[in-house]
Amino acid sequence: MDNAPPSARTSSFLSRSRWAWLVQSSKTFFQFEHFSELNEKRYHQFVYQQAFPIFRFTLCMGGLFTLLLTIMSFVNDAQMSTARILYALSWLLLVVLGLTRLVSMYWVFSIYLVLSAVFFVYYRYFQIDQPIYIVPTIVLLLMGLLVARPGAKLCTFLGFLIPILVSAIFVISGELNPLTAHIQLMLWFTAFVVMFAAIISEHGTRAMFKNHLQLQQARQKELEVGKAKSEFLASMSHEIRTPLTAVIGYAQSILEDDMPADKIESAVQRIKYNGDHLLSLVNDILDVAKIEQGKIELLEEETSLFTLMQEVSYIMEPLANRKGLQFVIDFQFPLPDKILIDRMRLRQILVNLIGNGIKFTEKGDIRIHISADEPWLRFDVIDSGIGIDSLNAQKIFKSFGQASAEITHQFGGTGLGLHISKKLANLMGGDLTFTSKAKVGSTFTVMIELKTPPSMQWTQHAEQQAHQDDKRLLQAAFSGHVLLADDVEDNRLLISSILRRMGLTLDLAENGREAIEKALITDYDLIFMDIQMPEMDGMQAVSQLRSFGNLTTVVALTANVMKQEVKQYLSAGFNAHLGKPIDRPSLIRVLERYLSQQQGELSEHELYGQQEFLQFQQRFINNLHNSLNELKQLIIQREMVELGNQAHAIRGSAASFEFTDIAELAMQLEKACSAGEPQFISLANKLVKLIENTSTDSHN
Amino acid sequence: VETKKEVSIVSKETLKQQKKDSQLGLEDVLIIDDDPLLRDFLASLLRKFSIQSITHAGSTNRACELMERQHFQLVFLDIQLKNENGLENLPKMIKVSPDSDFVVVSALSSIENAQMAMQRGARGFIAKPFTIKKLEGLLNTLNIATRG
Repeated sequence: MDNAPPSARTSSFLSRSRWAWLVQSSKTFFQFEHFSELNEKRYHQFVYQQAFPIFRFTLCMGGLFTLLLTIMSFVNDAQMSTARILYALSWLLLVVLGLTRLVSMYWVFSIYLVLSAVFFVYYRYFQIDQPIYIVPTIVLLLMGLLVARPGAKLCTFLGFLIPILVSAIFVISGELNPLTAHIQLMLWFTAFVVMFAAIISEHGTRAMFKNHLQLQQARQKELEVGKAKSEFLASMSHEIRTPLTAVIGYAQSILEDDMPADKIESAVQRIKYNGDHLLSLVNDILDVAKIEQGKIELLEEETSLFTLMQEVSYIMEPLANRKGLQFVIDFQFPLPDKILIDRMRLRQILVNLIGNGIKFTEKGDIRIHISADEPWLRFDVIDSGIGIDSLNAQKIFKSFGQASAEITHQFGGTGLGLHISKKLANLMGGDLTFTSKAKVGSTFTVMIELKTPPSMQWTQHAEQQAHQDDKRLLQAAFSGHVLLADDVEDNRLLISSILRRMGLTLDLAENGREAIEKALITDYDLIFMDIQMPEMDGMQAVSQLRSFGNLTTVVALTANVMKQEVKQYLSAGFNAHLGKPIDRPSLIRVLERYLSQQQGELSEHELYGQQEFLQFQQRFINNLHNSLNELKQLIIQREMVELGNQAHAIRGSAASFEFTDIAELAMQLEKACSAGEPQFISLANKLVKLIENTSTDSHN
Repeated sequence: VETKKEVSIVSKETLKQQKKDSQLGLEDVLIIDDDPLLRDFLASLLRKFSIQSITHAGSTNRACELMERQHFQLVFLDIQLKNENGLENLPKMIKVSPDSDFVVVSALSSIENAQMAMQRGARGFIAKPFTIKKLEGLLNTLNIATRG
């Protein structure tokens, strides 16, 4: 083909490929794109709805016009009145047929059209000899048909039927002369034009209907989403209101003092229980929202399967045991010792499934089988509970789709957990499925993609490793001076109690500003900083601290753990981040990372050299003793301003040389002097006494 | 054999040069503080970072005189000086020695002080009491080589 001279290709207009193209395009021209059966029906309805007003209009006009002419013909031309009356009667019959729906509007209109054409030919040609009007009138009628768009088939049929009938009339009546031949020719020509026009118009109508369908589907979907959303909102508000009512109710009755003292404790416990429930609900809702917006990102990290399961059993085993259920984790070896996974999310799934198992099981056991079958890692959570009947089986993965309101009432829970777990499993490249038998038990199976780090090894036993990790978690004890900045008092109390229990010395700050001021004075080993705080938020605080030249390790405490945000924190100057609510293993990991080096490092004193530091302390005390007389003089003269200046100077150096009691008192004196409080004299006297009693020996 | 020797000499020299570069300006530190005890203490801490030559000044006027004569890489400026406020005189001093890194020192750790110091052209802020760790962070931030 390519080697053929160009002239060969251009020589014949209809070369083979052109011919094929022509055939193809004419085929597509004559063939319509058909919809599904249901939509085809809808299409006809759609067309009919559009055609109907035009039919109606044409019929009305045709009828009224004829009526007028019939009345007039009685006056002018009695000869025509019979034909007109016949025509009017047949019109009336057609309208009645159409209105009573005995015959479809298409038929009515078609018969009317044919009738009109025949009548017109008869009337114009045979009665009043005005053949010049025949063609334009019939063309007008057919145009009306085209405008109504009843489809290419009908238009073509009528378009050809009319010239056939007209030809027949002329042939039968023996009127074959050049005039009638012209009329026939023009009518046949019109028929072809109508056919093409009708085909083009049907293509257009079908395209239009397709758009219409898509629009409708989109709207339908929107409506469904809207409905689902409002249903979700409604049930959510209900779910939130229930525990909230309990919290408020119990708190109210405690406040109003109408509760016997021995009941108060259980009331507070109920408040806490409902509060916990509320928190988990809100967390679930946030998760659902994140999943639906596609905002959940998985942070894959190297994790020991055994440690993870240990953590899970720490949480779940006591719950199972409290209900008298056995809790069994069954590792089916060989298993990889390390996997790459978003451990928080996997734990969330497992805790949720096991929690469900415990909730719906009255006696028996909860078993977790763990097996690896490349490329899958499989967790089976098996309970011997009430099971799920097939009727409810479809609902359970939907949000708020607990089997029934009764079950919600009896067992609590939001019904969001399974929905979230399934979506999370999907995100991990797997799925969550279940099999269940009512009254026998259920098995929930999580299959996720098995991803392993290069250093992974297949192992046959879990004991040792889990044991080590276990020990590490339990015996977590650290030493160090830590600052915690959080604006919410409850958070401060909670986190500080955790940190104190781990052996850390703790300072607290309520906002970023306070945190900076404390961090500038004291060398902390670690600062935990909330991100959202009034006055100055965590981001600002850290970047300011860094700009001043302070490199203390700062860990962001935040509920936002999305990659993008974590990146922002790190670039603002945070060293690490820790998700809220604080989870013990992650906390320990952070502490291990930043405090373990501390033990090997020298303390400030050792760093500096004990002997040299002692000399400075000695010099400082000597200086102070030398300035005692001056101080006493100032006290006698009640020189408040000068005393304040002195106190300020003493404070700065006393802190440097670790005379904290002197520094503290000097600071009080400084404050009192600058505020003009009368107690400055007594404070100054105290300071003098303290200095007199201090020597380097007694200090150490 | 000779070429080999040359190479080794060159590499030694570049090493020395690198070391010199990294310790650039270590001997040029000025401390402006009116309390001789704290001045000495800061100096002794700085010596731990192998900063050897340290000059003292009791007032900003004295400091300006010194800076006109000698270039200092790093200047510690106390806010509360006798009869004057170090912060107020900071812009004047930066004019005298624009290449120096000024670090403002204060016993008050208020953010306003620190922010104002940075606004007026300081490169760092450090609150008393002085500690090795604070100085280490500061020197690291200012990209000045520390001990080790």
